[in-house]
Amino acid sequence: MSGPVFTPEVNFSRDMRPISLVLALVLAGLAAAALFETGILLWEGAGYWVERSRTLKQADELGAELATLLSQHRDEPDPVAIRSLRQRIASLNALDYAGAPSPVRVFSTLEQLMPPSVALQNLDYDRGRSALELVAFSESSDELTAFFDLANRNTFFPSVRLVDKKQAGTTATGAPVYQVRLSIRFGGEPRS
Amino acid sequence: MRRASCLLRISAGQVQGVWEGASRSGSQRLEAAADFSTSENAPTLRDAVDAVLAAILPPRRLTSPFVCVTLEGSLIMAAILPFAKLPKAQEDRRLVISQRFCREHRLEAGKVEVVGSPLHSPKSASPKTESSRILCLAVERDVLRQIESALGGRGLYADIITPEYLQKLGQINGGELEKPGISLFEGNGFRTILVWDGEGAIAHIATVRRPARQDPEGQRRMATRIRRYAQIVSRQDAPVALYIERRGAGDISKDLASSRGLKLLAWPGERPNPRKGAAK
Repeated sequence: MSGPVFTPEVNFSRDMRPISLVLALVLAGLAAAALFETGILLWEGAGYWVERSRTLKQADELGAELATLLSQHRDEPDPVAIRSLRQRIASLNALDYAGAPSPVRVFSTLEQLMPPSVALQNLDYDRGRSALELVAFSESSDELTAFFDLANRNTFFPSVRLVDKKQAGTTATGAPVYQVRLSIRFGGEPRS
Repeated sequence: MRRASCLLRISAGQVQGVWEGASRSGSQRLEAAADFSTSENAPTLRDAVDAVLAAILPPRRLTSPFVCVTLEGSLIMAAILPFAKLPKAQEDRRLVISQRFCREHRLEAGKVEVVGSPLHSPKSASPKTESSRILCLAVERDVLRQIESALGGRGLYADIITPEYLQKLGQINGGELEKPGISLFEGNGFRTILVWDGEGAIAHIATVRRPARQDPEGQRRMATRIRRYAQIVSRQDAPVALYIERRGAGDISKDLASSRGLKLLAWPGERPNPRKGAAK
């Protein structure tokens, strides 16, 4: 009688199919994740590209605006003149600062003390020293001396110091013109 | 399209390898062999496998080949053990079979790899006898480790590591074998005797040293052993088929030719030797 002899299937090699299946699934998962991440990166990249284009456009607009502003800046006046004007404005403002004398009262007092032949040339208030620098001129040296004397005795001016007195030129007729420079300190007493 | 294959045959002291390329690459065929030994300073099994692979593997491979390793009977311990009941879980079943085999053969469980297989086809099995007789085959783990290590070193993995006699039996088993029967598989100095009963179930496996041609006493004992196997599996007066490979036919056929109850046949697929043809 012939027929099949049952042959047992024997394999001493380890069956790698379960591990292979797990590995294949893991690799497939990783590949899918990588594909998904690539898609996200591409999508974000497109967004970044739009943003970059917009930023470049804004930069171009700002550049044009800056060029316009620079061209306008060239039309401004001389900065030295502006600085001098600002200094003079600051000097005047300083007269109305806390501790400084009222300009109205200063001019009112000077109007009373100055003889008719004496003219006021310049007033400058130094806020750091609380001192008023006064320059006046006259054709009469005696009148200038009298003015200094009256100012020195006036109670509105606490301390008057003669800085210098000199001839500062001549008139059209050749008569000498004298100039006196006074420094009036107010002592920092706040103005009411 | 045929896949490339690498076939390794490991016998006692020798490794033979055959590489057959894929059909698309011209089916290139290369063969090589290398010896190994357990003595000191001699090439080990791993060295021999590596040398054979180095000789037959092509320098570049596009795909993974089918790797089949067959072990000669002398490298395998075999036993048929009865089990009253076995666990259903595969791992538990494997553990129980391994423990029983190692206990009965006085082996350390960690040193051998044991594989158990029921000795009947699933179709013919009855619920009561299921798992009753298990064919247990064991190979030293060191042998397997050396084989896998050599293959791994070349980027290969063994699809199959199996006894050579079972592979041969499976290759020709298309209903050509007569039942009951005995088959003799010749190895390198060893002979494996496979016995199956009238139902087609394996009844016995034995691997013994092959007696020399000039050893009449050894030849006589071998013939007696085969006759005894035949008596065990024979049914009534029907002769038992004895399949003999060509290279072993000269040794055994003259002692058994006159034996009653034995029908000498050539192994299927092999043409009988015209001068020493098998005789009843």
